Amino acid sequence: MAERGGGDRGGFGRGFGRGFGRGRGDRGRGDRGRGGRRGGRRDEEEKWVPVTKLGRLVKDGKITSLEQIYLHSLPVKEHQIIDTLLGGRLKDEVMKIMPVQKQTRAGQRTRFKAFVVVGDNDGHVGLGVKCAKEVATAIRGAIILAKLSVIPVRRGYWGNKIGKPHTVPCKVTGKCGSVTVRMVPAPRGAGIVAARVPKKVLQFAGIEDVFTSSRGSTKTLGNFVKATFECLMKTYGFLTPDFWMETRFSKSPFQEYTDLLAKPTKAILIENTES
Amino acid sequence: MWREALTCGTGLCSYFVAKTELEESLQYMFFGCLALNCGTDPRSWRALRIQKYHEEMKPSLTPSNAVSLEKESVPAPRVNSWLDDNMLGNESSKVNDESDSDTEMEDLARALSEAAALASSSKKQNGHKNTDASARGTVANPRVEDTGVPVLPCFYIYSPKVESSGDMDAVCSGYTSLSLKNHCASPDTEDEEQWERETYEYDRALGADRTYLKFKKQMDAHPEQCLRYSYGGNPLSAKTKLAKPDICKRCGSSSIYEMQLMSPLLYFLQQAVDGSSACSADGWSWITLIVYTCSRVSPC
Repeated sequence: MAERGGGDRGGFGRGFGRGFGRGRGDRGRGDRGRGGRRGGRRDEEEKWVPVTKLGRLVKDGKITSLEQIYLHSLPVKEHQIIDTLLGGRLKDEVMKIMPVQKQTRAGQRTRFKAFVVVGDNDGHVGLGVKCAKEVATAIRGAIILAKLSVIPVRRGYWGNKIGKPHTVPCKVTGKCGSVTVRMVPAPRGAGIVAARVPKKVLQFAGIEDVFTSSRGSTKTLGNFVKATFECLMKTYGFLTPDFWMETRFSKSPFQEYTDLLAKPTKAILIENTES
Repeated sequence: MWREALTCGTGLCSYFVAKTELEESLQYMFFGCLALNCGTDPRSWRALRIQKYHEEMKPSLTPSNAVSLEKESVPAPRVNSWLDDNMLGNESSKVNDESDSDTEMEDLARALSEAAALASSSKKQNGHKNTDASARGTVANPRVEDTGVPVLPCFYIYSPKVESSGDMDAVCSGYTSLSLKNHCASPDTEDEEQWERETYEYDRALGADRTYLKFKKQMDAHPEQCLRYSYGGNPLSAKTKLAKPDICKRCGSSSIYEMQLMSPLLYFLQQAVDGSSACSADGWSWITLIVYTCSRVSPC
């Protein structure tokens, strides 16, 4: 198993070497990343012992969709929750691996920073950023962080409400660092009009048509991608007239699935008779 | 210590006992209230540490100050609860003043240890006490007791060898750094994508902060760990701010960390309890229970 792991990662590393040599082979790197990873991880993913109460509810099958979690704003603290709920629909892609360096007395210490975006092309997208000493660790960690950050994306119509929603419901803008990204609804057939990097995020989100405009130092692509993600987060935060109806509150999954204690069999009250 | 027993407003009806034997002479018992709202209150937990003397076979008690409770985002109500023990058909003991409590506790302890001796006759004694590293307790298989009183099922816990992780990563690091060195001199021909000026960034996710992510990493390394033991060490915390432990109520000396119970314990208990309707542990939703004991070596 050790050799297999080493062999896997060796091939992985060599693949990365070729990727670097090509210069901008992002897509190649992503594919190889996915293939190399799936090799040795199968058995460990099967046994998931949930740590949080939400995890236990999801594992038992009491919660069947992510929307129930979003409705009550419950924090998702285990990436296996997203795995269970979104399952095979979730695709991931490594957008960039870059070395970040820190100057120490003994030379430069290089770590790798991985940007991974996950999404199901239908309204859920997540972005993860992870720094680690090895590339494989960074990618794996970034995928986990991306799954923990999966958000719902609201889609709407540009004009006539026929067919499925295909664009953002309204003009929204997101900002990270000095980069601001503005998304404007577009008619059907316009496609995603954006730079190559945020276009990927928008494709994973399931948005088919949108006009974007950006401002600031978009060369810092880390901030650019995060600004796009912020922008997508805001789509559900925007109050539109459809939400004017009074909210009908429903029970949170914690309350709904907690078994009330059965009739107490032997209720014994201990009085505190301390004088 | 038992003078501070307070009543639970809703009338408690069951309890939870976990016994582990890391040494021949040490037994731990954890008591918690199963009432709906009390599971989240730190004061509804008590831990009892029973230590046998080697000279005489009479067990003596070292009450440990349970518990700093790390809970999830469920709000803790202001209900204080206590627990009752009616495991062997003992009547509920009214703990009034100190003189009574000592003798009753010893009776209780003797009875419980006799039951423990009966129950643990076939248990494998695999534990060893680590003072430096933490031993991870893993659940072997459940055994459900069928008495008339509401009792949660019992489990066997054993501690596996802790293997060091990280040697695999060390093997692979050579490859990646090698390939990087060969190509860092290649010029960037495309101007539009120059991911520039990135610096080291700490882990961040929408619902989880860095401390919790480190906690989760440890949990993922051994997904079934139920117990972490490290006398005098540092607890693995999921929140950044841990409440400070109280001082020992008997001797006044400070408390140090001894062990912590982890969430897989809850999961296994709930899985085992699913069938029976006598009691349910759903009211509990803590991530970890940290047990502090008196720092004095001799029992106080």
